[in-house]
Amino acid sequence: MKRFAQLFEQMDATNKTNAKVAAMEFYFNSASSADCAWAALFLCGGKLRAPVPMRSFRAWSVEVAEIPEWLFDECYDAVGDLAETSALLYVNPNATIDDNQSLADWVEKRLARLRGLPESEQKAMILDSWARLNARHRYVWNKLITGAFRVGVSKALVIRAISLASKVAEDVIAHRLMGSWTPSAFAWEELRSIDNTDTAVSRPYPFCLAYPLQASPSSLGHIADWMAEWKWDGIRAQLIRRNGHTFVWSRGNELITERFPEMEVLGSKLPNGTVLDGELIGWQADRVLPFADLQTRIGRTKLSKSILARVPVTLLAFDVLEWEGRDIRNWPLRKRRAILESLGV
Amino acid sequence: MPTPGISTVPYGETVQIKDASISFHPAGHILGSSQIRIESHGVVWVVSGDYKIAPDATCAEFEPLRCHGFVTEATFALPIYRWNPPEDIFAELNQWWQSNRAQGKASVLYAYALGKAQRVLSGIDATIGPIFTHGAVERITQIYRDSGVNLPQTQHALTAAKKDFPGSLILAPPSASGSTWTRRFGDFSPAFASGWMQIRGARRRKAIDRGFVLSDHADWPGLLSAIRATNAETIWATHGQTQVLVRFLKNKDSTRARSRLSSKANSTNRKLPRPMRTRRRTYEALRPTLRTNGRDE
Repeated sequence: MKRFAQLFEQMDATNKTNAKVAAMEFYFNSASSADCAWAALFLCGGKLRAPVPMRSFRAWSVEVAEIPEWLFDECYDAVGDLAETSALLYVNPNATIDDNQSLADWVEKRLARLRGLPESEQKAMILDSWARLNARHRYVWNKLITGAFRVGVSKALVIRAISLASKVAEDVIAHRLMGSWTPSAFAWEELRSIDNTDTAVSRPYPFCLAYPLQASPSSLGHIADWMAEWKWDGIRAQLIRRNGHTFVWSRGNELITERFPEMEVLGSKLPNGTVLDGELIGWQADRVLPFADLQTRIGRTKLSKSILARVPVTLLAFDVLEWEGRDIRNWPLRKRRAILESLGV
Repeated sequence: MPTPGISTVPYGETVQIKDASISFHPAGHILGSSQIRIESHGVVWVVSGDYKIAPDATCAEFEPLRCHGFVTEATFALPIYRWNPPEDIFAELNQWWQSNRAQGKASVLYAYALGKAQRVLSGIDATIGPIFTHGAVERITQIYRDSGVNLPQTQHALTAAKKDFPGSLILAPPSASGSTWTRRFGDFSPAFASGWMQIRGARRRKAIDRGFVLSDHADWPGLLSAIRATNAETIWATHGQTQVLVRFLKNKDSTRARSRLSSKANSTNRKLPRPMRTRRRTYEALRPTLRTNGRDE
């Protein structure tokens, strides 16, 4: 816990992305595999399902603070976070500081066992844990319990740090972290394994991005040498069909296949060895839906039937990057366009 | 009379204004900060002003005074505000400065120019490296030195060359944060020394690297112990979390009064202790009155 709390403090003590990534890289290079696995989960915003009811957590916090409940509420109003309020109000000068247990110990031997225990046992375990930690560690520990652990890094940055520490490409790490990744020493070793036969099949191409033109439009040559099309406001994505599997990658190097079940259907219609570049957009009754509608389902990991019916998503493909298993990015655009249209999607 | 309209008196010396005997006593907040004790017809009131209990090498220690009525400040009157010993905070400050110095970076510490900056100077390990100051800090630091407070050597940042800043400590008022004044320091680590830094949200909103919880106000236990030591019947709270403090004292007192009552239930002695009356009032209203009377004197 000491090392993980230190990592948290280092990341919290800077607004610079590079410094945050460097702190994570250092941790991933020096902590044990099991600790790295749990740290990666928490840094990516993962949490254990409500280890204890928040109502109980709050009641125990009031009890050990030895103050009336209204005063606890006043403190909470000033702090704005239950985990922090609880940590600040805990007064026990006799706390025996237990620095020797690792993050994995704290999580596997305590946090993960809390759920489902009778309330009296939960309380005993939480009170015992508070007595073993100093103020800073107690704060991080409370954040893990309340599931409100946030340090202002995106999953993409955590992946970058893991990639730097393991020398495994970012997209490989992203692929391996997809779905329900269960932290363990073994899972961490797999994550940082150099053997990447498992992920080559899902590997996307770098995204070709649009930039504003610095020179005058006339510098582009004759208009007849150009193809033009609408730029739709959606999510830039690559749709990959290889070995009978479909993968959707966002521009931020995130695998987002699970969030767009429509793409599984579309992918299954493509021949193996095909990669499409396009824009994911909300599409209903032959019309593009406003981006605001699409936003209502971007962040969701669990998609209800109603949201799938309300905002169906399709891919407006504008390029084909791989065809019959060949990288055709150097082919003339006209030729690629003809192939795209021949695919009939 | 050093300046027209302002008269000064040593701590503890009594000034008579009509029926009232007035004296000033150390408040421990900053150099010269005073509690004002007013005694008239056997009734004593004390107005604390800003005060702290924690030790501070730049000013006289807070003096507990017995009184009938006590006007207390309440800036940090919430139990989340509990200060660690100043020596722990200074150790953290030294470590932060040293680590920045090792990376060739300047350490810019924002601290109130009056009081806090000098307290930092008195506690920091000045052997780590050179210390530069903002003009506002330098001016007041010189006044402290002239008043006999021993502080390490400092240099006005505007008189220094750019190459002198890496590895140095720079003391500036919070208002300098984000200003063009800070550009001359190149790559630096910004930090803020204040009691408000106790809360992470307050720290995050400041866009600083570090927050050091170093306050010149009493924390929650400090306020309660100071109030208890006065033995006062009436407490007025002003500035900050006044309602919280008053409600807490009222509740606590009613429990105490009740328990005293029950323990004396069998006693024939009907003389009950007078309950502590607590109410909230601002204390700005008192200031002009005092000043006018002072001038009359």
